[in-house]
Amino acid sequence: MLRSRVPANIRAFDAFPKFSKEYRRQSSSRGGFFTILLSVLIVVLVFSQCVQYIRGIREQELFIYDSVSELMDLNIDITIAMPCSNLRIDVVDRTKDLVLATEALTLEEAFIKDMPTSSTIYKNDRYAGLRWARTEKFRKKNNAEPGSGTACRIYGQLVVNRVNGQLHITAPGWGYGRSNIPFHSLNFTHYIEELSFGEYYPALVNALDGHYGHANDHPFAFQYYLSVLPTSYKSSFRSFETNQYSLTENSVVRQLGFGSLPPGIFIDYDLEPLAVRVVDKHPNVASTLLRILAISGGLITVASWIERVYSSRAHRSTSEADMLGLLGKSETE
Amino acid sequence: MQFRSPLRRFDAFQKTVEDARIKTASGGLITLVSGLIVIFIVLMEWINYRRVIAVHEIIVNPSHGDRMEINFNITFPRIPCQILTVDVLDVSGEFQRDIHHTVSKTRLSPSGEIISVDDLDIGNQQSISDDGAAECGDCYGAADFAPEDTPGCCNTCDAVRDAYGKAHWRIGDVDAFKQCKDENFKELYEAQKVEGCNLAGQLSVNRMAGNFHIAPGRSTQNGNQHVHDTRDYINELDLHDMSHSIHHLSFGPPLDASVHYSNPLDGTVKKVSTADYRYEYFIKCVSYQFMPLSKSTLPIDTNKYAVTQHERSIRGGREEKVPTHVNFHGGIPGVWFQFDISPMRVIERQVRGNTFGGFLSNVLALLGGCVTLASFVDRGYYEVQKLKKN
Repeated sequence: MLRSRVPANIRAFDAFPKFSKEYRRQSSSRGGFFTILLSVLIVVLVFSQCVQYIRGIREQELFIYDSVSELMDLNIDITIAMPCSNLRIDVVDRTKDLVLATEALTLEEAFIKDMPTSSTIYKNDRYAGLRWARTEKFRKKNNAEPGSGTACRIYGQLVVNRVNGQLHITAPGWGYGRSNIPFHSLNFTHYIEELSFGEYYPALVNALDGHYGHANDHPFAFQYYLSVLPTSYKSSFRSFETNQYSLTENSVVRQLGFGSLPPGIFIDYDLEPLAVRVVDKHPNVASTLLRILAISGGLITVASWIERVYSSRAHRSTSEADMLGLLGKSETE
Repeated sequence: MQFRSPLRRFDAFQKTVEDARIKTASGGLITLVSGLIVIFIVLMEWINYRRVIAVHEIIVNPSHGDRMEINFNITFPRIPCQILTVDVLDVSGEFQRDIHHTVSKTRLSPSGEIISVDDLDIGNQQSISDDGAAECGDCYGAADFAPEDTPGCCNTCDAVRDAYGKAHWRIGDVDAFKQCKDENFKELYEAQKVEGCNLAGQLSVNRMAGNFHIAPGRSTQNGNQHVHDTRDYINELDLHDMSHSIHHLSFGPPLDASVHYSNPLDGTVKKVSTADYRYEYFIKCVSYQFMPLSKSTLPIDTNKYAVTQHERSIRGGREEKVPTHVNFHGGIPGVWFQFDISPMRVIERQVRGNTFGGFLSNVLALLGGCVTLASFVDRGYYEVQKLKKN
């Protein structure tokens, strides 16, 4: 077999002692069982380490965002329990730019009965998050007849400056603009299907995705404060730049009267100087090998100790019996 | 040999008679292969141990709000130093106007050559009359706003212009002032009109949100309003614009030269063809501490920043790049740096890839594991071969 292909003088390097049969104690079935068990364990171990190596590890790192930024996308998909004619959207930010939100977003008639009435709890699975993200755009839904809708769905992508800003959804006449929308038709109950910044990734679940906000009273103000962190994702297959955010919320009933703050939905976003870098990569080859060797070596050593303890106990008991047989009586007498 | 016998009971290392050992070629091969693996991994471990890596740590900034230095070096190729001022404003209400003593202004010819480096205090020297006593110059009605060190007197052209600025008065013709005529202000000004300017220096600001801006015209603070007298700039709109290149902008002391880091705004070049243009940089500073590997060098406490830029015409209107944005109408041309302080501190510590103890334990674990596993494999192979032969 191997001997035919391997030069014979390599034999001199053999550091592992093997003994001819006459020098070894009789091999036992227990020993054989231990050996097979051990081999299986080692194979399983090597296999699991290989799987771990192929699946890779995810590392997250925070760093100071060091590229000069200018604009970002704001993706929104929100349904509000009021007809579209009763709503207006404004964006103001620190640059004092006026963002024509109604031009960029689509307002679509919908029905209150189609709105979900509780928040969806998304499970943020380890891999659902980023790697298998799809890139499709907002889902189209059935349009209601113009003017017949009882709710309004606002969706689309808005380009905003990367500075502290606010997105306001208010009723005309209540805050901005002039109109006479009756007090009793104000209802800012809403369902947010998607609110994200940066490249649109439906599978990246943010705090406000699937959020349901119920207005207990007509002049209700939902105030969401978002801290946006730039996030870059990198693996051997794909890499992209997007944003994540954390949320604080305070929703109140507004006092009515002159100079009071308007009811509505107010989304206040601010950019953090820190950014997150998520890297999916393979672990170090050397450390994987090292782990396999160390664990299997330890296993073998421990197993051989256990086996030796067992066999010496068995050996002792038989030899004691033999001695008793030889002497024929115990010494305690 | 008697003394050795009690110790012999503790001998954990089995030894066999040399004759009892069987050496095989497969065993030799396994020995060589495992030896190679050992050498390879020891080498990797050694490289990992010697490698210097940076460990990032983020904490809430524990330091008290001290002052912070802003270092900058910016060139404006189309505005003379004369009419550029550097002002600092912050949320606490601190206002530093037309900073001179830590900022040097370098006059540049239209082709970009250096004409002279000075602090540009034209006529800061007092006009001394022949008898040696300081003369008291007329303030032309603005005596209440005369410089503090010479109450009621405006001895230089600068002082008169300053006083007029504080009084919110316009100056029709500077030649009406004797001081300015003596200093040849108008002629100097006319000669410098086509020049460019490089501003370099240091500002000391409070560690809090604020802004510093470089804008044309003398500035005054009128209650809550910060006003620039942009008349000189507006008079020659076709000569001037706010094109600029930022060579350097950093907050706090510089990092060690061994660390390769360039600030995000270093090397930014902005070109614009109209005079009515305004640049804004929204900067967020994060306290940053760098701890070098060697214990003898002190850690460096400085800042890094993230920045968002925005530019607009002060005449407002739709933005070309993003048609859904309508720019605000108003303000004055200039370059604004709005800075904000983050509550976090990033600590970057240089460390070895592994401790020496960790390196040793890894190597020993490797050796033990490798030898045991190899002997196990070898035994198995040997037994299988023997079984086959029988």
